[in-house]
Amino acid sequence: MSEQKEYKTGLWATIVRELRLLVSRPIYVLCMVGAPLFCCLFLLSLMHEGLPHKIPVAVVDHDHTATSRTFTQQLGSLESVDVVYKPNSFTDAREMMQAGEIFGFLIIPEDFEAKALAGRQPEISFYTNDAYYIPASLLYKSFKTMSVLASGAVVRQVLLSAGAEDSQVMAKLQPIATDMHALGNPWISYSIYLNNSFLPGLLQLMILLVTVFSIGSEMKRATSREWLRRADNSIIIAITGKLLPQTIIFFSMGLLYLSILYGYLHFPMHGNIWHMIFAMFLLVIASQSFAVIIMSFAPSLRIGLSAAGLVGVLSLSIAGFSFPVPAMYLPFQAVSYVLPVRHYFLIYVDQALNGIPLYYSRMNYVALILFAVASTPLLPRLKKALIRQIYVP
Amino acid sequence: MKLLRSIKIGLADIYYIWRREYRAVFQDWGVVIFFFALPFVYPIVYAAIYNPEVVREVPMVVVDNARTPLSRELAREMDATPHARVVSYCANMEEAKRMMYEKHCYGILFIPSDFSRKVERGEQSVVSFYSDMSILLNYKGFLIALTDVTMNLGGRLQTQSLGGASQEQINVATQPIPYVSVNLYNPEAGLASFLLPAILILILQQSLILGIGMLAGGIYEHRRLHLFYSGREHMHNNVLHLVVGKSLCYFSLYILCTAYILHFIPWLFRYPQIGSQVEIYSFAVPFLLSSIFFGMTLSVFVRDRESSFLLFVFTSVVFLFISGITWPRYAMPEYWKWLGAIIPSTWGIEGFVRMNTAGAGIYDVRHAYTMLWILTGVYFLTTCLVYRYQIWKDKKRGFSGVLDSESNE
Repeated sequence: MSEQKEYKTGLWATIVRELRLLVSRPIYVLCMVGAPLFCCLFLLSLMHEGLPHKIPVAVVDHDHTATSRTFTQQLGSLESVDVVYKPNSFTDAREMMQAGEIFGFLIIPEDFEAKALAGRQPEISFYTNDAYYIPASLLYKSFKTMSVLASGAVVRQVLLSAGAEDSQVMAKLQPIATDMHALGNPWISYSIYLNNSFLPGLLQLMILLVTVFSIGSEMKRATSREWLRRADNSIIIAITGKLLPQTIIFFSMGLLYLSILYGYLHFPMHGNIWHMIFAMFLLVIASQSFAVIIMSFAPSLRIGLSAAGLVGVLSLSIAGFSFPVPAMYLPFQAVSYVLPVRHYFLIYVDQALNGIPLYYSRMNYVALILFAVASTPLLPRLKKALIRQIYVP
Repeated sequence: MKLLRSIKIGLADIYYIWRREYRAVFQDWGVVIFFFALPFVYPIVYAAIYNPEVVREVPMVVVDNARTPLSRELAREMDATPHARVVSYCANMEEAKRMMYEKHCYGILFIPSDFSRKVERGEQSVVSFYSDMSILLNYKGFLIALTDVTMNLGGRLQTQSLGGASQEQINVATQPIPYVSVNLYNPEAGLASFLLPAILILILQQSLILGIGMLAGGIYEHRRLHLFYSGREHMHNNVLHLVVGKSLCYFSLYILCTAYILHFIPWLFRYPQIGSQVEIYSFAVPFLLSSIFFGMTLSVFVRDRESSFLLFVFTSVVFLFISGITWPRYAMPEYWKWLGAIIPSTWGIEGFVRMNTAGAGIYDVRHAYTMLWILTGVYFLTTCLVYRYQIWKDKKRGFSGVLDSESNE
C-alpha cells in the first residue's frame, strides 16, 4: 500500500478498499454473482415443466382381452403416465423396475373381463417404486384414479341396464364428491413449491460463506489491522464499509430472483411485492449479521467457514422446505427458528403464496431484524480478534 | 531386467508419495475434519432430521354448516385418519381462515348446509377442502385422507340404499373392480428412506472434493508443489506416480468411511437395505475412484485452502438435484442430463439406491457401473493433465528448490 493512501480513512475509504478487494479476486465474483445465477437458471430450467410428465410404467396384462387393452390405453392417455413396456410376468416387471427403466407397474389379472362382467370382483394390483418419491406419488395417484374409474364404468353399466337415469348414476357411483382446493398452487407445481424456498436458501448459503470468507481473509492475510486503520479504528465503520458493497450485490441478486420468479415466470404472488422485497433485503442483512456472529465467536477462517457451510447446507433441510418443521424432533424445531431463511420462508408463504394480511407475518419480520442487529454487541469481540490478527490454518 | 528395475523404482516412488500424502492429510486439521468428522457426523444429523419419515396428524379445522349426524361422522372419520387431526370446529369460513392465518391449522374442510339433504335425495353431495400449499406433504396427506374417507362413507351410503342385499352383492355394487396398491422398496413411503441413500453418496463425494481441494489449496498458497517434483527428476513419468500415489492414499482412507456410510448407517437407522453388501462394495470401488480423480481434477481451481468451501459447498445441492433422485432424469432437459452424466454422484446415487434400497444386483446397474469406470478413466487422464500443467507452470515460475513457505503477495 502506498503512503498516500494510508491517509485516506473513513467509511468511504473502507468501501473503496473493499470494492478493490472484491474485483481483485475472481472467487468473489464467482460466488456472489456466478453461483447464485447458475443455481437459479439450473433449478428453474430443470423443473420448468412443473411436474414430471409421462412417467414410464409397465402394464402386465394377463387377460389379453378388449377390456384389458382398453384399460391399458386409457391408463396411457393420462398425462402423468407413459406405458412403455408390456412384460409377460411380475418378475419381468420387477426386474425392469430394479433396472430403473420404469417407476411403477400395474397388473391386470387373468379373466379380468369375464370376472368384471360376471360381478366376481377381479383385483387390479399396482406397484410403485417409492425409492423415487415424486414419480411414485404421482403414479400412485394415476393408478388409483384409473382403478376407481374402471369400477365406476362397471357400476354405471349395471345401473343403466337396471333402468337408472343418467343423472342418478353419478350420485350412485359417488354419493359424496370432493372439491379439493390447493390454495395458491392449484397446478401442484413442484417448480413453484421448491424454487421459492431453495433459491433463497442457496442465497443464504452463499452470503454466509462469502461474508465469513471476506472477514477471515483479512486475518489470514494479516491485513485486518490495516483494515481497521482505514476505518479510523472503528469496528462499526470497518464492518459497514466491508459489508455494504456485498449487501448491495447480494440484494441485487435477490431482486433478480424475485423478478424472475414473480415477474418473468408469474409464480403465485397474491400479496404486495414490496413485502417480499423488504423480506429479501432483511434476509440478506440477517444472513450477513449471522456470519459476523459466527466470526465473532470463532475468529478463524476455517472454523468460520465450516460453521457457515454447516448452517447454510443444513438450513435447506431444517428450515422445513420439504419436511415440515412441526413433524421434526423438538430440538430441530427449535434450531429452525434461529435460521434466517426459515423466517423468510414463512414470510413467503404468508405474503406471496397465500397473500394474507401483513399482520400475521410480523413476528418473522421482527425475527429477521433481530438477526440483523444481533451481531452489534459482539463487534468488540471481533475487533479484538482483528487486532490479534492470528491465522489458524 | 531393465523393465523390472524401472517397475520396481516406479512402485517405490508411488509408495513414497502415498506415505507422504498420509502425512500431509494427518498434519492438516482441516483435511482430517473433511475426511473423517464430516462423513461421520453429517449422516447422523441428516438421519435425525428426517427420522420421523412421515407426516402424521396435520392439524385441520371443520366448518360444518350441515350439522347433521352424517356431516359429523365425516368430520370424525377425517380426524380418525393418520394424516389429519381436527383441532377445532369453526362457526364460519372467516373463523377458519383466521385459524389458518395463525398457523393453527393447514387445512379447512367445508361441509355445505345441504350436504345431508342432497345425500338423502339421492343427489351427489359435494364437500370442499382448502389446503395450505406451503408444504406438499401436508397436502398429499389431506388428499389421501379425504379421498379415502369420502369413498368409504359413500360406499356405506350405497350399501344402505341397497337394503336387503347380501354382502357379496354390496361388494359388487360398490367396488366391482377392487385394487391393491403396493409401495415397493419404501413401504411407508418415508422421506428419509428415499432421501438419505442419495445424501449418503453425496457426502462421500463432497467430503472427498472438499478435502482434496483444501490440500491442493494449501500446496498452492504455500508454493510447496516443487517438493513433489524436485529431486525426483530421474522419474520420467512422475506425474503418473504422483496421481496414483495420492489416490491410493485417499482411497485407503475412505474404505472405512465407505463401510460406515453405505453399510452401517442404513443398518443403524433401519433404512431399506436389501441389496447384497458385497456387490455394493464392489460398486463403491469405481465410485470412490472416480470421485477421487474428479476431486483431484477440480482441485486445480483452488488457489487457497479455504476457497474449497466457497467453490464446492453449494454444488452439493446442484449435484443432488441433477442426480435425478427428486426430479427423475428422464424428465430433465437434455443439457442437464449431459452435465449430470459427468458427475460421479449421479451414477453413484442411481446405483446405490437401486442396489441398497431396491435390491438390484450389480448386473442390473451395469449401466451406472460402466459409467463410473469410464468416469474414473476420464478423470484419471484429466488429473494427470492438470498436474502436468501445474508442475510445468510452477517450474516456469521458478519455485523449484526454494522453500518459501510464507506466501508473499
